[in-house]
Amino acid sequence: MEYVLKTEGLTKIYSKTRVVDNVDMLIRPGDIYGFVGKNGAGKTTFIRMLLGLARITNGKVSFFDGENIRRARKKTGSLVESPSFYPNMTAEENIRIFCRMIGEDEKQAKSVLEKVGLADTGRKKAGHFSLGMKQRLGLALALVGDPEFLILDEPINGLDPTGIAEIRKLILSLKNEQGKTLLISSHLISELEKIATRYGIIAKGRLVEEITADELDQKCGNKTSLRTSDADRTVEILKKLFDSDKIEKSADGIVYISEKIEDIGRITNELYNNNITVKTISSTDNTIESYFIERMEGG
Amino acid sequence: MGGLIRADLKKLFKSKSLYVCMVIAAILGVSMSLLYNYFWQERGQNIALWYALMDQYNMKTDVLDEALRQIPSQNLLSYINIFFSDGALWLIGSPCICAYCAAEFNSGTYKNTVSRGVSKTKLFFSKVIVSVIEMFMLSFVYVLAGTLAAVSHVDFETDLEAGRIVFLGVIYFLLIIASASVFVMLTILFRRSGFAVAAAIAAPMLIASLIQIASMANPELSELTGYVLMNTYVTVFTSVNDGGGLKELFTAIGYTAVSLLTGGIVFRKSEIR
Repeated sequence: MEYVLKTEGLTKIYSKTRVVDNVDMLIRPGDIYGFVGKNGAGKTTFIRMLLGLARITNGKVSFFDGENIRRARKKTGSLVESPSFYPNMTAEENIRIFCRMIGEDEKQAKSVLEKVGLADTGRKKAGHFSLGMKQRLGLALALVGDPEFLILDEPINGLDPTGIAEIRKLILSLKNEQGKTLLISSHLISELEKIATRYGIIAKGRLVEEITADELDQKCGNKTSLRTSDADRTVEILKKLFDSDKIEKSADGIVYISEKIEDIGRITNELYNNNITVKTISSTDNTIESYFIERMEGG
Repeated sequence: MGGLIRADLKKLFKSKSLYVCMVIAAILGVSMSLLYNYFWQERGQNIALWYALMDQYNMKTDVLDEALRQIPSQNLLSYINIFFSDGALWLIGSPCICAYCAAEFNSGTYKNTVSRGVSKTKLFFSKVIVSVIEMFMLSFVYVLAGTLAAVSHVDFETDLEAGRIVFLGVIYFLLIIASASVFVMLTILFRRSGFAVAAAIAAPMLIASLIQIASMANPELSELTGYVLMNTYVTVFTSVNDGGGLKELFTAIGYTAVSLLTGGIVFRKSEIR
């Protein structure tokens, strides 16, 4: 299979406002695609169009190399915005009734609840669940029928740190052990960072950047910049101290070291011993979060 | 579709509102029965008084005889007519069905099924079928409770022939389907049970008032009140008794068709939140 999801020029206009603007997205099998954007950037509207919950103004959506859309949606589990369920029913009853409605085997109810840690909720009605338990029930509904593709909109909302870790583990096992593909939208970039293999950044309805986790790692991280009396010789000396591809020199003569520096004194001493004067030295911490924020603002 | 209907039935039987509505229907049925029996007895005493007065003043009783002949006797059929024509079923049915259908919008659960490729048309028709079942259950409880309360003072004999009784039953059957369809359509349009119930109760009155106003300019328009669904429950018994009933039959079918078509199209085109 070449792709799990492909959108071409996907657009949504609500009363003359382009909420989603010409988005082309490609998600390949096995991806955990982190979908990042500010509130109101168009993430949820985009997801709602994928799932047939919102009408598409323009553009095209196709799943699984162009499979029939209704069949494809049967193989796509989702959790959109807040979890939805019948509050007067137990977790198991909710799963069973959902299975009945979409034509799945009701026997899977227990195993699905076990996966999300809700197996022992007994006769407690879902309406009386805590926020975290409701979120888990929403995830359980998404997992019904063992879907190949999962679209999760803010899946860790309301979970405590233990819950977040458990859901992270579940997501990773879905990808690594079962080969599932996931599209996850989240505000919690630090959490996405731990699981995503690719990212899409949406700002004001436009997909401003798609980047792999490896590319992102290269672009982010600690950076130390030096302005010295002799930039070229500084580069030569630093290349002996660090991995050579981590040393760069800008056109205006600033030397950059793309690595976390534990001992600044070692650099300054080495340069001093080589009769090079350090004029300025500064360290910037370009985290993934700040990278995303910059892109989201700049959209 | 079968799975959807079974799931919708389960949701119906799990909702407390169904049982509350059934209890209210039963209480209303018994109350109506006792109330009408009281009025019937009062009427009997008044009739006797009228005849006595007419006799006292040597007046002819032909007009009164004819008028009384046209009023159905106190039998089971006339009782059932009273149950259906007093508007109680409409008042019980509208909140029950609107609340049942709106629950899906309130909990946002349509998004779970629609996102899994379940057809919106199937979801709509499943809701209509189960709402019709709910309306029948409420009607049954209402009429049964009232009839049981009336058993001691109702004569089960009737002069209406069997074919007409069956025809009357068919029209009531279709009227119940039409009412349930209207309630489902209103819930789909408003997505909130409160607005839908308000519309279900206010619309017949509003339409009847508009027809009355219009009939001031053209008296022939007053006949249109017979096409207001709630009024059809009132006129059907007399119509069938007089050998008619087709107008009521087609009114019920018309309302069902328009409600299903409107509700189905609106739901299909609507976005799910």
